[in-house]
Amino acid sequence: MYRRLVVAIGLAALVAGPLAAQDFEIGPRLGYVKWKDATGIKGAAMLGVDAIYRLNSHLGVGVRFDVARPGTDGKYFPAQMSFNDTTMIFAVSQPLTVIQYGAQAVVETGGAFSLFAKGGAGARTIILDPQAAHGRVNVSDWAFQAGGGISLRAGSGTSVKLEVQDLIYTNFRRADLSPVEPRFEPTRFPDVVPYQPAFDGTAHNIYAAISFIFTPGGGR
Amino acid sequence: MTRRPQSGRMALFAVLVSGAFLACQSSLTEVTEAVGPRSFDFAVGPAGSVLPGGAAYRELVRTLVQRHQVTYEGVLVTSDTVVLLASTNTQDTTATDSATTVMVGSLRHLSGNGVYQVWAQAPDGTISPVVGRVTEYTHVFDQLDPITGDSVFVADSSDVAASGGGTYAGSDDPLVDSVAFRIIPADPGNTVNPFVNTQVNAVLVTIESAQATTPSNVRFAWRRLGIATGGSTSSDAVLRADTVLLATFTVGSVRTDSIEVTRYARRRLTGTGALTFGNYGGLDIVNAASPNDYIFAPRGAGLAGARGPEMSVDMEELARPPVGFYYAGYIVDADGKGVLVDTLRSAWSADPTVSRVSMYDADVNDLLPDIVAGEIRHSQIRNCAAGSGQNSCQNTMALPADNTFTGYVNFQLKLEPKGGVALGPNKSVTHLGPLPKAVK
Repeated sequence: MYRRLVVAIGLAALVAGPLAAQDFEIGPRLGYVKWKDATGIKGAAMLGVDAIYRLNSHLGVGVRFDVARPGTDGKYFPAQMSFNDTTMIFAVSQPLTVIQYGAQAVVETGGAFSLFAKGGAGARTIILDPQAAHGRVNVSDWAFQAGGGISLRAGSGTSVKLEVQDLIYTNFRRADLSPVEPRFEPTRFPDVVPYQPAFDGTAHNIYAAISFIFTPGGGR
Repeated sequence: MTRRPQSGRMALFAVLVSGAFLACQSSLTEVTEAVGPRSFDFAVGPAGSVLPGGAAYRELVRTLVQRHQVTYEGVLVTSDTVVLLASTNTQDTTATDSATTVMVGSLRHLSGNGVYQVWAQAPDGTISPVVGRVTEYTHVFDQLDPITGDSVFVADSSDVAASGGGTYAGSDDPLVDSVAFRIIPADPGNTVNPFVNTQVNAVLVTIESAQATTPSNVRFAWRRLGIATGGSTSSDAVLRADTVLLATFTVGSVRTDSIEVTRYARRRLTGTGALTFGNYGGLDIVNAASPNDYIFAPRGAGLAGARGPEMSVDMEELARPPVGFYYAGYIVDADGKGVLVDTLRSAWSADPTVSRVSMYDADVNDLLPDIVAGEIRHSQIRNCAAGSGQNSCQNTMALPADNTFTGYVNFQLKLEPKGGVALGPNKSVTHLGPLPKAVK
């Protein structure tokens, strides 16, 4: 986790170069992530912040940091428990903490109403519920983003951005999130909860957000 | 300069709103949610007391085993005595096979023209159909003796195929206990009788689509008689050492010129006995228990669960069915009436190509899932009440969706003949499990 964070910040610093206040944008972002169904993660709000250094009126580079607290969908993590001559099937869900961070670049048309596109690379860390995971367990790997939207200028140093992104999680294994020990995985009624094939690969997750951009130096 | 505080407040407001939204999300605790009703479990174990079977034996009535005839030449009469003066004293001995019987039980009714047929195999490998009379033995009822209080078994019999026949369609009448294929040479029409004047190495029972002249490969019951005891000819003048005496009786007559005494002895060949159930391995003139045979015996066990309207039975290490048979599961009520749950399928698997595949052809298809060295490693019988709409279930069991198993007392795993009509339970039961009280 920390190695990827350092790499991401380093990349951002490298591309940012010497900073000037009027070239620097910071903006909190609130949105909703619809994770790919097969990930077993329910859709949830994601809070983030962008820090962008504007190289010119059309191009900017910077870093981002996001956090979300989604829950898992119990139908992907069924468990079987037997008590003497009685067997019960459960759908087990748990809260997660998803942290995403990395470098990004923005290209926009400029003006009071502008279109923009953005992309980036970094990492994501998914922290499992300590109670369900019996300890501190997290899963990290690369994360990429690509998207775009519209930017509405509300003043010389303020703007509002509406955007949609594809959050790309590579090497995603849903089994990593399972709170069910193998000995409790259903064997007698395996599809009482509709069976979901194992997912192992790249997950494309849709993220829609609104950003409030603040330029400490008043903007260009 | 005045815009900075405004944009700063705006950003601060956005952060606060975002944080509140994030914090107010639900599902921030671990949730364990029960899915559907609980399963009441019960074990399923081997039964096998009513598998198709029976006995093959050969009854010989040696007529005139000893006939003694005295012819008078004259009579000497004194005051108190009559003396017969014998001039000749003849004695002869002949023997005739009177009947050969193959008795078979637990034969389910076969559909269409399907019939059971009995065959005899000679030491040279020739297999000939047994032609004769077929008699059904019926268990009429049990009753209590009004005096002793003992249970009295009352049986009856009736011919279902007259002499010259030799096939039997089976019966699903629970009162029918067994059927006898009996060859009586004296009966008209029994021209093809391999038991008469021929050595027989084995007798076997097959399933045919119609009366046949050569046997099919469904040779599910047999008895190897062996070379030493397999043959006897009606011309044997002397009783063979391998027979046992069942009964004797004497008939005599006095004529004006002679006295004739005939002794009858009813003897049965030894070396005959119970039929074996499985796959007949063909001629073996050396071994009485041939390594070529597949002898079926119920094997393996299972764990079943009655879960709401669903019945699911997981079986482990079942013996493969004999050729011509398949497994099916029933639940049975106290009166012996049953409802079909389903035929055997392979166990559930995440791979849909091998999950719950029909094991109807497990008798002959080595490529079905989980078939290893004569056994079915993992398999399942599962179904849900019709209309219950259970997930991933056929929902075709002819039972109500509510209180589905009320009144039913046990689960039966059975072997069904492939040519048969699945009309009911209780025959060819290989495994049995009592339903738990909670669902009965």
